[in-house]
Amino acid sequence: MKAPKLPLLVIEDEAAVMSFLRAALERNGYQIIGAASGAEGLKLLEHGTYMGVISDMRTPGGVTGADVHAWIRHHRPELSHRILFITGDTVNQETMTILQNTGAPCIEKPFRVAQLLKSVETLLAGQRNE
Amino acid sequence: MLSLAQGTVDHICSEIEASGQAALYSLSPYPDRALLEDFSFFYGMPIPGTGGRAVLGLLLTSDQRLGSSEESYFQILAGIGTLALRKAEVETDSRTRAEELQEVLAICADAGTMPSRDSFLELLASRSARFLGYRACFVGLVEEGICRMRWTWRDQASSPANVELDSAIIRNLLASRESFWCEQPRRERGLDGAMLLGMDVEQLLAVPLVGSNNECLGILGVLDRIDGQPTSPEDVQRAQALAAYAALTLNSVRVLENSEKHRQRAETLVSLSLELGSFVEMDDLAKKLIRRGMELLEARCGFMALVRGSRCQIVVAEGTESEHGDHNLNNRLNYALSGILRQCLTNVTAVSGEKFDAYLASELGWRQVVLAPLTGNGGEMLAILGLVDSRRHSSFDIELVQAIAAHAAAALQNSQLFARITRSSREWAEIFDSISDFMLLHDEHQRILRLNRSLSSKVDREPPQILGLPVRDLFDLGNNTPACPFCLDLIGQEFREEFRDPKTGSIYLVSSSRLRGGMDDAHQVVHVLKDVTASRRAERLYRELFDNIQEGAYFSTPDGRLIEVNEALVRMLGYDSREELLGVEARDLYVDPQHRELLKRALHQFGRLRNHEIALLRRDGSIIYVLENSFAIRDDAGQVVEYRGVLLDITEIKHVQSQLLREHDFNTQILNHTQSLIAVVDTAGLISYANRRCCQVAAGVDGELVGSRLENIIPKSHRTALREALHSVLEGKAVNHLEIPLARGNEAIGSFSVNLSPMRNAVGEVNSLVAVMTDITDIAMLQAKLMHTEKMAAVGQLVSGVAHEVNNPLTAIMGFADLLLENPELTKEVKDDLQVIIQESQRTREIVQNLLSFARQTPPEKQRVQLNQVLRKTVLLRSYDLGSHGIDVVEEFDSGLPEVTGDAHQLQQVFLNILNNACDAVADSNRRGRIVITTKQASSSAEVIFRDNGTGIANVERIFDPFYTTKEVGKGTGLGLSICYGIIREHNGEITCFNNPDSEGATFCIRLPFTQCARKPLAKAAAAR
Repeated sequence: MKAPKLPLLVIEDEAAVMSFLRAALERNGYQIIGAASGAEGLKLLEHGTYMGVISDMRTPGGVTGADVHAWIRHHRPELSHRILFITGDTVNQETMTILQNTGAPCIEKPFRVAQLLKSVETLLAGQRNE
Repeated sequence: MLSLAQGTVDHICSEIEASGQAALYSLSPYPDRALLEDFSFFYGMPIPGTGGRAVLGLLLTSDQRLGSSEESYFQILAGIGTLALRKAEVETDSRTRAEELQEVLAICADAGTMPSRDSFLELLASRSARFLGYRACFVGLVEEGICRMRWTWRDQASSPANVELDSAIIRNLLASRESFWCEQPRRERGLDGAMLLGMDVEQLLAVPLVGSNNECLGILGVLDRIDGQPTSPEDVQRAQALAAYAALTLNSVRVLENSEKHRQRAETLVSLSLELGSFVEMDDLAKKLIRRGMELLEARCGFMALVRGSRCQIVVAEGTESEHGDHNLNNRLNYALSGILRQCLTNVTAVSGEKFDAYLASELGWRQVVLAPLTGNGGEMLAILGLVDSRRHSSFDIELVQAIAAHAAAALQNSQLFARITRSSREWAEIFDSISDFMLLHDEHQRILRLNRSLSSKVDREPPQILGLPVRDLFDLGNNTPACPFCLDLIGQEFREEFRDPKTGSIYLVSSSRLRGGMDDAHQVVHVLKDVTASRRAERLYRELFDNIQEGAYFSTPDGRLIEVNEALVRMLGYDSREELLGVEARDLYVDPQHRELLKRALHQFGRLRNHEIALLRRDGSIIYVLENSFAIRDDAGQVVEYRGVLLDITEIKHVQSQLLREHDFNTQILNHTQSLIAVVDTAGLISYANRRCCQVAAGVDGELVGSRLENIIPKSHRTALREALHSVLEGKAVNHLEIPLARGNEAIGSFSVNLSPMRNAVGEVNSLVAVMTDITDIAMLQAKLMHTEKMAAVGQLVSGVAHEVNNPLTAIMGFADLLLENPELTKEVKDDLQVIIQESQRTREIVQNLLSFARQTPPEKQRVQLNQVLRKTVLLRSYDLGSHGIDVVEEFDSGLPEVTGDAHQLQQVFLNILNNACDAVADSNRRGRIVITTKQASSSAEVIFRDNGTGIANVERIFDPFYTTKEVGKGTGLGLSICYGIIREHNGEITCFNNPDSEGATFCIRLPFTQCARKPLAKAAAAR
């Protein structure tokens, strides 16, 4: 396991899910910085540098996953293809529209650890190729 | 003594005279000898030198005898006596002669002083007789070659006479100019009795009156010496001397008289012409003329007739005493004159009575008629003057008559002219007065000379009050205005053409002309004022109307020239100006020029055209539709000379009309096809309109629906409620949602919602109401459906929320279980337990996924789908199971079923689900299962029907509710049909189910719309799922 230089920003309001994501990813060599809301995530994004972003789509505090994506595309365009959404509500029409518009990858809750890791690797692989 | 015996002495003396010898006569034989006393003898001897007329006589007694000496003495005495006698005679003679001469001169002097010929003749006659010692005297005058006795003197009285002396002796006397005398002239041949005037004439002495130029002027005749002596040569001499002087005097009298005659004639003519000139009436003139003529010719009667063409007409007759009335006489005269007229009558002509008219001659004794033609300037005969039995026919008289006739002709002509002038003047005055226009004549100072009656009555003043006033006074114009308001100058050259009376506001058209005045050269001016106020007003009104009406108006000629158009027409046809439009040929305005020909024919035939619709071309080429109302104007000969018409632009109206028609159609369609019952009810509650549906529904009600009461079509139980509702609607309050049960024709009674709305008339009163009755039986059903739909949507939302909430903990559970499994320190037992956690977590995940699917969270991937194909695949999937369970599946597919648009997999899921349910149902029924799958075409959708003979559905209403299941616990999640419901709804379809009404089992029916060709395939769903 090589040590990546930059951390992953994980935005997830559900504490149980956050702790699972942190455990699963840190055990597989990723550095994680967590944010419990979209607003907090944006604050961290403003002041830090990240390898990628994993965000729940429905987050409290007025800033949703879609908002985070929009902000990144505007202020951190280099990260705009490093966003992985997670959602428990894929068949929601609104969610489907956001996914379609952003073209960002998404994994549905509940998911297996292997599914998560594969998705993160695929997401970051684009960066390494660049 | 001797004087007593005159006869005897005379007799003897005459015997002595005759013998010329002295002789002795015995007196005894003489009867008067007794008077001679005792003388018996008369001795007498003629005294010589006396021509025997003097006898010296001696009376002797019977005894006395003369001796010779006595005889000688007696002879000497006689001789001396003779001398003395001679001397005395000479003396006497010379004295007598001087006296006679004096007498003749006195007579002639007296005669010369006589004022007229007649008085001269009278004097001459009386004085001549006395002077010559005759008892009677006559004077005859030669006139026109004929000698007429003009005056007689007899028995100390004189009288005029008019007897023609036409005997041989007289003629001889006149020719020889020698005196003639005779005794016992009656015995003379060549003297007729007429000249002797019936006198017992003994002696006649006639001497010619010889004028200065040896012309025989006439005869002076004396008759019967007073002394009874025979006419002596002295008498003849004296008579001749008197005659010579008288002739001289007569000559001068004649000359005088001639000149007097001429003077008189001139006077007569002058006075006649003056008299005649003063007569202007034909009758008066004729009377005067006839009287004059009668006087002049001493005629018995006279007449005058006017010549009219070839006929005569008596104007007047004077002095006629007709026993048969004037009328008869007049006719007779007319007849006679007309006959005369045929001969050319140019001069005064005397005609015998017999020749003139036999009847008049015989009946009235007319012997002679003098006819004088009255000839006009051009020689035409105007009239005839007739004088009957005139006593004077001298050429002078005739000439005078001729002259009078000439004057009378002139007077007659004047009279006729005057009559004509009078008539025309009267006519002119009448015309002047009868003209209703105001007429006015004024002089050069613009003072009124004359005005007609209508003007005087207009100013309400009699002409005498106005004449001489300035014209302006008629109109109460101020003094500072010109004297004549119609003249623009004082010389009568420029006139005003129009005048407005400031007092009345009337407008007059003034026509004026300048006339030359009557007496002097001053001009006069005639003004004729025509009151055109009304026509001006009419003209103004007409003009305003013509210019302001919205309709286009035109005048045109039959050959298509526009004479006049109004502004409205110019606007209507889109031209810039009237002038521009007037330059357009009428036929060019028609869309179809043939149309104009049709209009022309109609106008010529019927004279007018009403509400004819035609299409006209506007200037920009666009078409307008107009309604034409026209008529033809004809001249006196009946020829059509003009068309006049009014055009109403109905393009907009036509547009609105067609729109209205469409709307009407639309409304009718709606009214007739709506499922609502719509009726209009009047204030009495009677139906005045009912739509088709209303009629269908009310078909069971007896009688005609329109006109019957609305409440008749509803059940009795609800009539009171309806009546109350109607009542309140008629008060203006609408009533909504009144629920009333109504028999739907032959069907069962349905529930109807009745809405009643008032309709108001123009003044806002409610005069009827509209009842709309909607069948809400179906609506209630739809409402139930809607409620189900809403329920399902709510469940979906709920499920979506729950699923999301469940997913988070499940993620953590499954994730940590995964992570635990990686822990090598865990025993197999623990790992197996973890496997169970993961497995159940997976199951939970699937349940949540299904819930989300139902909650339409998964949009179908739409493509063209052949339902029959999908159904066959589905049946094939289950064929093994079905066969093993002994269930018969019957496919009744419509092979021509069109495609539908949808997700074949989802649809298969639906069909599979239903088929499984059906299998379960028939399996539970313990019967041999039979499932009939039918596809067929409904109107715009495909129908798939699954009919089984299973146990049926316990609760049809809840069958699509999530988690509702009839299956035993663990056999189903209760989400299958809910998901089916969600899928079909996503396909815009419908899924229903019901228990078979006629048999065991239930039926599911799915309807899916056919693919619409125009519809584009939907965008593919997002890849990530």
